[in-house]
Amino acid sequence: MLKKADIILATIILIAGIAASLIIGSISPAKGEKAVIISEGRIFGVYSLYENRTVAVLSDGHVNKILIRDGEVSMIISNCPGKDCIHQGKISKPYESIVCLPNKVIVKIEGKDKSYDEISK
Amino acid sequence: MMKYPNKKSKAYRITFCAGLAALALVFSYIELLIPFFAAVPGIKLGLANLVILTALYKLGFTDALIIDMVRVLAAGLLFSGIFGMLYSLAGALLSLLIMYGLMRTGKFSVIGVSMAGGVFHNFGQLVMAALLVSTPEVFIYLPALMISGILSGAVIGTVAYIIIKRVSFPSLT
Repeated sequence: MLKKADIILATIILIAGIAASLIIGSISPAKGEKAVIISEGRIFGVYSLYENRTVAVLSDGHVNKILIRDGEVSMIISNCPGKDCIHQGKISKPYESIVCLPNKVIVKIEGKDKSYDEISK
Repeated sequence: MMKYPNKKSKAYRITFCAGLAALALVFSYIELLIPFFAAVPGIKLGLANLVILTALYKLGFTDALIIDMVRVLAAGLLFSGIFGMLYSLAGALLSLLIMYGLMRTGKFSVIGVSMAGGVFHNFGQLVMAALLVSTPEVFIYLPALMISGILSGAVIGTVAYIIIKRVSFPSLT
C-alpha cells in the first residue's frame, strides 16, 4: 500500500515545511509595532498597535472593520460570504496577517521601523 | 460488484462523469459544513479530491480533468464566489497535473499521490492568493498548509486506495 517513494516524498515536504517556518521565524522581528491595512492592492493605512481604535475599510461594496486593541488586531466585521477573516482571530506579531480574499483586504503586522524610537509599553 | 452495460457511447461517458462531478460537488459542500481550523485560511480535508483521485486512476487524466473543472465551476457559483473559484482553479489544476505526473511514474502509491495532491492544491491556492492581492505575506501559512496537505492527503489516499481496489468502473473510452 505505502511505497518507499511515498515516504521519501512526505519527508521532503515535511522538511521543506519545517524549513520554511524556521526561515520565517528567524527573519521576522520579535515585536509588532504597527498594523498595515491593504485594500485592493494599495496601502489603506498604517496604524500603531499601541493606540486602540477601529478602522473601517469600504471599497466597491466590500465592508470590513478592523479592531486594534491592547496590541492585538482582529477583523470584527466583514460582509464577505465565508467570514474566514473573522475566524482568523487576533494577530499581534510581525508577518502575521489577516486576509479577507473576497474583499481584497489584508491586515499585516510590521515590526520596528528605523524611524521609530524606542517605544516602551 | 456492479455490471455496467458495455456501451462506450459518448452520452454514457458524459452522464457517468456528470454523476461523479455532482458527487465531488456534494463533497465540497460537506466540507463547508465542517469547521476545520479556520485560523489558517484554506485548510481543509480535501474530500472532493477523493472523487478526482479515483477518477484519475480509473478513468484517466481527461475525464478527471473534466470532472474537476465542472466541480470547481459549480462550487464557485454556488458557494465561494468568483474569487473562491479562481483560487480553487489554481489549486485544482496544479494538484491534478502533479498527481497525474506522479501516477505515471509508477513509483508512488495512491497515498503518496494523494499527499502530493493535497500539498500542491494548497500551494496553488496560496500562489493565486498572493498574485491576486499582491502580497507575498500569505506564504506565512505555507508550513501549516503543507503539513495539513500531507495529513489530509494520507487520509483521502487511504480511502481512495480501498475504493480503487474494490469498486469497478465502466471503461468509458
